[in-house]
Amino acid sequence: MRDVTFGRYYPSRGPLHETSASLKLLFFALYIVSIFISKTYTGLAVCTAFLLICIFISRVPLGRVLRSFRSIIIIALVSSVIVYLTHPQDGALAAVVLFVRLISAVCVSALLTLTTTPSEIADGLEKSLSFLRFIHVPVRDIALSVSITLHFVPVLQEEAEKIYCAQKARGASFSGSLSHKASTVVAVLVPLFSSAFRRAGELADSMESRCYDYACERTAFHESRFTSYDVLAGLLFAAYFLFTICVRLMPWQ
Amino acid sequence: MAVRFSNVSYIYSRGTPFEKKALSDISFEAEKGDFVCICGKTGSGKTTLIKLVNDLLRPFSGEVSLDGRSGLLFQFPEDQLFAPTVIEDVMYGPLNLGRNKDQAREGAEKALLCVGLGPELYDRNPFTLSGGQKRLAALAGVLAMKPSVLVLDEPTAGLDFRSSRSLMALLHRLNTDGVTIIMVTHEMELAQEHAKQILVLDKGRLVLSGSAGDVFSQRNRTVIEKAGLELPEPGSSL
Ligand SMILES: Nc1ncnc2c1ncn2[C@@H]1O[C@H](COP(=O)(O)OP(=O)(O)OP(=O)(O)O)[C@@H](O)[C@H]1O
Ligand SMILES: [Mg+2]
Repeated sequence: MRDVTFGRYYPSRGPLHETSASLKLLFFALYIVSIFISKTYTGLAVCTAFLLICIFISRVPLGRVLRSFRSIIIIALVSSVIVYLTHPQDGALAAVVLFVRLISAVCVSALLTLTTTPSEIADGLEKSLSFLRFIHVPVRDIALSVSITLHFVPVLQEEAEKIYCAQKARGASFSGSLSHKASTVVAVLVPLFSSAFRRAGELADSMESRCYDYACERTAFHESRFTSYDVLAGLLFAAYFLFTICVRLMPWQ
Repeated sequence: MAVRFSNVSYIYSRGTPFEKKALSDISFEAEKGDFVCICGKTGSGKTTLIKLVNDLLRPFSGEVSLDGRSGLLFQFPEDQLFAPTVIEDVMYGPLNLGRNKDQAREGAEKALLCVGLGPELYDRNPFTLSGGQKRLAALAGVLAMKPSVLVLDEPTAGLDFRSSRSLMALLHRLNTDGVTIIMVTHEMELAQEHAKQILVLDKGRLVLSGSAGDVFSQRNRTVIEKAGLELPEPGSSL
């Protein structure tokens, strides 16, 4: 439980941290598209290389990013093996494709949350989805919910840790057979849920007592503006994206 | 020997930008039946130290040894309560020790009586209790396990004068019955009155240790003030 990286911001001043959040969200979405249109070893190599370069320039230690897929690697491996065994031909390629896609999707989302604070993400979401407001999608409320959710990942993690401590201090044992471990997880989850609801109520009270009004137009304390950084990042990313499309369309493949 | 620390250090969030050295090179020993008070200003590492006693944290270096079963009263009782009702919460420990339901309930009722919480609270949700009641309920949950080393993190915080005195009287009684007590407190007067051994922490280091008479003597005034504490008023034991 201690090692959940997802949703944890890693403070630094690397170039990815400085890029505007809405742009990063766009890159994120397009990167996912690019790994799904790459179906060859070359294409996947390009995607992976790009991801590694991003991680490298982000100044987030590689280990922090890699840690995020520790839990999913089993799933990725098992599904790749199944794909390999069930595919009539080119099983190896299909398995590699699936594996690389899963892992890089997890890594890129980890990279996004590691380099962007929850409030920047919410802000970026609100900006980049604001066109949906015209068809009456409550973009702002969704963005706020997302931001609160991301804020609460580490809080709930801490809470789980506390409950774990409280139970351990009173003789609960957290090791043993798998079924015993499963039951201890439930024993932690139940109070965790009730505490999450309690916290949600408290948060709503505290927001209302400070006159939060979901209906009014909101201004931002930190106005985000596009900088030359963003232009450069956009150009580089566009180059990458076009390149993956070219690789896909190459006639000799 | 009930508890022994040999050159214990602890670091939070090791290997991240938030790395924080909370304890460095702590050594002390608590005899069986000892009454240890740990003093130090906010952030000096008291809670970290007692979490190490209870094996909730593992030392980064050095060694912690504990003889017998320890029970911990957390600094914030909210952190300690988790069951849906008070009585179930208090029964949790005894059930984990392998008692059957009836024995656990009997032990729980005894413990609740001991801390002065009546049967009308048994079926309440612990989170709906008052702050002081929560603390007492949490204490009952610890006592129900009959620990031989009882560790308490600021047990009197948030209690009124009477409850605080009766809590200290209870601890005194347990101590006379042979329970080793390790208690964190900000109240120097409490430490002076009850402790057989006092430890003073300053920024994660153990700067003074010994009997109340030794530690709170005038020649230690500068060290104690440097640690952000005051000598107890002469003759003002509570
Ligand atoms: N989970 C944690 N992660 C990182 N640092 C921590 C953590 N818990 C405590 N610390 C830091 O370790 C130091 C010692 O904390 P500790 O809780 O032991 O202090 P304390 O003496 O109990 O203070 P108080 O009197 O306020 O309860 C503090 O500087 C604190 O900021
Ligand atoms: Mg503390």
